[in-house]
Amino acid sequence: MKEMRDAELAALAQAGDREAFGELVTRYAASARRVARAVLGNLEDADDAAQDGFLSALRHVGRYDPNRPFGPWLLRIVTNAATDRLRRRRVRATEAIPPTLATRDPGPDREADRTALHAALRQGLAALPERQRVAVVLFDVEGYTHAEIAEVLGIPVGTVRSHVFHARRALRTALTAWKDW
Amino acid sequence: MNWSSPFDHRPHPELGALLREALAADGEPAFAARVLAAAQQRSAYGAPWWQVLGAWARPGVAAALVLLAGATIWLTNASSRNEADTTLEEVLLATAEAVAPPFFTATMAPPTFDVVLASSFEP
Repeated sequence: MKEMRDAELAALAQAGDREAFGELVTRYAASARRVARAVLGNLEDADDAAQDGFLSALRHVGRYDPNRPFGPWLLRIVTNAATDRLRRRRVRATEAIPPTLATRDPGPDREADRTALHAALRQGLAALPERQRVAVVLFDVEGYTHAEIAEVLGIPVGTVRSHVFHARRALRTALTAWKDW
Repeated sequence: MNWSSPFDHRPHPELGALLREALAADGEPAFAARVLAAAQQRSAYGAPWWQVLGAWARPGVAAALVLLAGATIWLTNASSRNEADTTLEEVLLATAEAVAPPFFTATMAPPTFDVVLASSFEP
C-alpha cells in the first residue's frame, strides 16, 4: 500500500478497501489537520472538521479525477468542511491567547520563547481573513502551487497570489517583535 | 527570520516551518484511527457482502418452503397412483398458481418472508 499512488489508493477505497482508505488518511492527516486548524483555530474543532472532510471524501471518491493530484481535491473538501463548521457554530475560531504571550519576553528559556512565537503566529493567522489563512498555509506550509490553491479555494490564480501576499505582510507585522528570531 | 519580499512567488521556507510548528497537532495515529472508526461506524464503505446476502436470506427461505411444498404434493400424488403420470414441472406450476397470488408477479420488489409464508398456508 505504501508505495501505491494516491489515484490507485482512491480507486481501491472506492471499491471498499479500508486499508487503502487508511493509507490515504495516514498520508494526508497532517495536512488536513493543519489546514482545518488554519480555518478554525481551535484544535478540537479542526480535528472534527478534518474527520468530516475525510468521510465526505470517501463518500464522494467516485467523483475524484485520477488524472489530477489527490491532495488539492481532498483539501478542498476539508476546507469546505472546516468553513461549514465555522459558519454553523458561529464561534470565533481563535484560541484564547493571553496578551502576555503575544509580546516577546526575552527570557533565557528559548523553548518558552518559541512557544510564545507559535502563539503569536497563530494569533496573527487568526486575525487574517479565512481565505488568506488557507492560502498562506497551503502555499508556504504545504507547498502547493498557486494554481492548485486556486482549485482548492475555487478562486482565480491572481486572487490566490494576492491572498498570499497580504497574509505574509500581515504576519510579518504581527511578528515584528521576533524579527531577530 | 529573513522575510525577503511578500511578493516572492516561491514558498517561504522559514515562515512555512514556523507555521507548520504552530499548527502542528499531536496524536496523528490516534486521529487516523478515529477517522477509520467513524468511517466504519457510518458504513461509508457501503454494505459488506454478508449484509447484502443476509437481506436475501428470508425471501430465500420462503422460496425454499414453496418448493418443498410442491415437491411434497408431487411425491404424494406419485405414491397415491401406481404410475406417476404427473411431472414435477406440472406440479410446481400448479403449486405456483395455487400459492402465488397475483401480487407476487405484479411488483419488482422481492416479497417479504411473512407474505410468502402466509400465502403458502392459505387454502
